[in-house]
Amino acid sequence: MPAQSLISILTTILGFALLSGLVLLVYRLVSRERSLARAEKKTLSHYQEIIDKANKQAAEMLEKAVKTSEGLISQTELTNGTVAADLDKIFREMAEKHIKSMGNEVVTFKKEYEDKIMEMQQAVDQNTKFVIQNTQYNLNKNLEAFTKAMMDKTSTSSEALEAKTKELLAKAEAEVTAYKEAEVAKVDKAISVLVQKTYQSLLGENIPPEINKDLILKALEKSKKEGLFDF
Amino acid sequence: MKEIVNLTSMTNYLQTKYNINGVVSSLDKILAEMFKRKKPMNEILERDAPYPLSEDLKKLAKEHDANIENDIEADKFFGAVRKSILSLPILTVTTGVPPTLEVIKEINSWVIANIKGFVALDFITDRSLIAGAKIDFNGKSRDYSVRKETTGVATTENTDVNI
Repeated sequence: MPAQSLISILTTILGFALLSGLVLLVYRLVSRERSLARAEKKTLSHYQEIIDKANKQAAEMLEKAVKTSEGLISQTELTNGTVAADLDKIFREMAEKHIKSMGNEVVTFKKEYEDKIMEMQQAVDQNTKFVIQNTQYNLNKNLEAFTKAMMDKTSTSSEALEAKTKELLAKAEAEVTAYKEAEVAKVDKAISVLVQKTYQSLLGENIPPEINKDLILKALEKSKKEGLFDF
Repeated sequence: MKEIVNLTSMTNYLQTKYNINGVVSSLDKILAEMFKRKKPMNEILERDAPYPLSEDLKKLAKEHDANIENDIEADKFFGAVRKSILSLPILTVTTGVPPTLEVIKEINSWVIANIKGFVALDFITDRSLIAGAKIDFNGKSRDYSVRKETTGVATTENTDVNI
């Protein structure tokens, strides 16, 4: 029994000790978490302070810049007004001088232009007169040459025509003569053939041998006289 | 063998172109047989040449000192005879009527009497001549026919022709 009590007591003590240890561990964890949260909160508040300070400085700089700009703008407007007035005056003077100069130039140019026109008109009149005279002269000359060429051509054509006519006439006459001669030759040949045939049919075998012999011997004699047998 | 052949002893065989052609034909036959049969020339002449031409050819060979029993000499001799015969001058008489024997004799006599040297005669008949004669000799020609007279062309006109 005492042993069992002892074990029970010991078990209770051990249980109590374990529980105490566990509670202590939880407590430590919670306390650590809390300290971390506090440190973070502290850091954040420090950052917020820096940002607020920066915002404040920026607002001040902006306000200062706006004031400076307004000053500059007002000064610039004043300067611009003065410069514009001066420029306007200068331009006006320049324009007046220029207009005056232009007026003088126009008068001079007009006079020169009129003179030039007059001169050109005179030159044109003179040239026109010259061209008309020249044209008239050339026309007359060409007409003369043309007339002469036509006369020559007519004369040459007439001569050529006459020569050609003579040539054709001579050719025609020659052709007629040749034709006549050819026809006459044909007739002659036909007559000759006819005569020979007549002789042949009439004489032929009817020639007495004595006469034929004499004719042959006469042919030999004539040939000899003409030197046919000379070596 | 004498180089130049004298045909005087052969004139009887060479009176006309017809005769000449006959003799030349005989010579050609003799030469052909001589090379073909290789027989003695006497035998060939007696067998292939007409008598008395065969005997006269033998005499002609003797006259020219040609030994015709020798094939080479015979060939040379008969070749020379043939050449001489073919180079004889020929007088061609063309008549309108075929000549009678009497006319041929008359012409032959006239030729012997009037033309120097030997001339063979050749007779041609051309009916278109009618009568008279056309004479051709040595490349020259004369036409004295009745035909020529009737055409009215001068009969003395020279018309050289090749016979």
